[in-house]
Amino acid sequence: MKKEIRPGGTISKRISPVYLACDTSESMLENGKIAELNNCMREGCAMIRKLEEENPTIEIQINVLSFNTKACWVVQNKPVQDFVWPDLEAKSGGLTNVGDAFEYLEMAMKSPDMPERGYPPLICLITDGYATDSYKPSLDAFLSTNWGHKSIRQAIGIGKDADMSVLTKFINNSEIKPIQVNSPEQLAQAIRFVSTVVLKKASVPNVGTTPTEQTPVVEVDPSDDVW
Amino acid sequence: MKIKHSIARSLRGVSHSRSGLPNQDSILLQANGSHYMVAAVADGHGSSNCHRSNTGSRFACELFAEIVKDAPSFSSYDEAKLYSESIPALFINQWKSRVENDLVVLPYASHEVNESNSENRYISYGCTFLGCYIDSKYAVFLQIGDGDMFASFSNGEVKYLVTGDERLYGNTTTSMCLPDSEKDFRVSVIDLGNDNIPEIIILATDGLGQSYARDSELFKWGSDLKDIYLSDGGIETIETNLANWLDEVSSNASGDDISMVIISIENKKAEQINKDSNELQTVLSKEERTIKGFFSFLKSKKNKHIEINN
Repeated sequence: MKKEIRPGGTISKRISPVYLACDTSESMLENGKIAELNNCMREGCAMIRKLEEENPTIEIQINVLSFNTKACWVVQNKPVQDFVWPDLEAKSGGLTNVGDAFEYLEMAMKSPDMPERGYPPLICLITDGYATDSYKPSLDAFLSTNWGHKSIRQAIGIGKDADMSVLTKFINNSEIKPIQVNSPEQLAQAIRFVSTVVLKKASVPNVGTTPTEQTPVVEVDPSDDVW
Repeated sequence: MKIKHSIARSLRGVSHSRSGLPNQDSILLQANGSHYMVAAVADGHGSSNCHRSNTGSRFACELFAEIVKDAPSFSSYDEAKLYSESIPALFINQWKSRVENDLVVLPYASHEVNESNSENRYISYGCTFLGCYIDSKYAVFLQIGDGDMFASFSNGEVKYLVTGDERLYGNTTTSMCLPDSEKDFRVSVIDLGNDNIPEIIILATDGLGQSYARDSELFKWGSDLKDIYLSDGGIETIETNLANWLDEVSSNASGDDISMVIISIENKKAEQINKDSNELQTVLSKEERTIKGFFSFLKSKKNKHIEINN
């Protein structure tokens, strides 16, 4: 049968959008945090690529949001197979205006580019500090969008200075706790967890409720703490 | 109302072929003459916790047909609505009883018992369900869980036949197997005596809808099938190719099982309007010819007059 007479519009693999919102404030320059984040993200993205290869019916699209005093998109809607992690640079004097990041995420969730029939977005927020702006109205606006509300959210707090309460409010799900990491090894472990277990759970058949993932057990040896 | 054509096809998705899983969908199409039809598709969840879901989906289709075969002849829309709203409780009750009976004959082996079916013994049989019952005056639609039930209407619009459910997104779905599932049904009734009726009705498990990024792409099935039905040899084209089309969609996109029922309904009112319109056109054409003839007669007289004057 001739392909052109098949009824229906353009078919496509199911889109699984991934949003990585990364803090690039000045404090990320301390103790090599931004360099470690870039290293771990490179490894994480390779795992996401592998996950897609193992599941040929999904297309994972990567979005990277960098935020300091201002937020900006570094990458948008990039198929993971074509994606190379762009090394992020922390900005001297840059603040941690996480509210600005929430505004960008809100706009993305409302964008006509969001597939109506895709998987819920996986959004991971990574920061090492305290919010330096009044983020709550922006967070509420983001969470009130259709896809923001349905998204699967995870957060990683780098170091002891990270404000875990902001991350908890971002996740907005009592069953999921933000992950606190105090060393490059723990950061790698957390990103591995998000790139595999959380993403996989967002894209496998499930009955009844949205899958929730427990925070991974991070082996803590205080002598290893760097941050 | 008259049912002009109906067809059902179900195929195993490539992802299930790869993993060795059977087709988890079930499908049913029963007609009695051209004024009565029952159609159903059900999609077994197929996950490791739902290892008997192909059986559960079969039970759902069979029971729905058994229930609606006793449906009364509705004398009003309200009567049809009342009846349709009574189906979910009865349906779920009977489906769960059928599962109980199956478990008596074939209890879970020790390796089949898991945390999920220890808490809820129906979960291994879990499925979604989409069904419709059409008599000469009314069409009743019921759906629980994901999948798509939509139609191309007489006015050219393509739309869903039941309301949406905010809880269905990604891989999350309501299911026959969950507690209080009778409350999760979405039900609608359409009066087929209206001018604007569903002319091409499509019921499909979610393997179809998951292959499209947007509703508008999926809805083209409705408008395209309407065009194919209107073309010469349309029914034959659909019967010959539907399985190939579904296979192509599954193979290149969702990878999931796809089951589809298509029902083509004759809209007598619309066809009468078309017929009247054609007849009017014929009358107008005759009148036009008469008027044209009259003017050419006048013209010839005028020319003659001019000629005389000259």
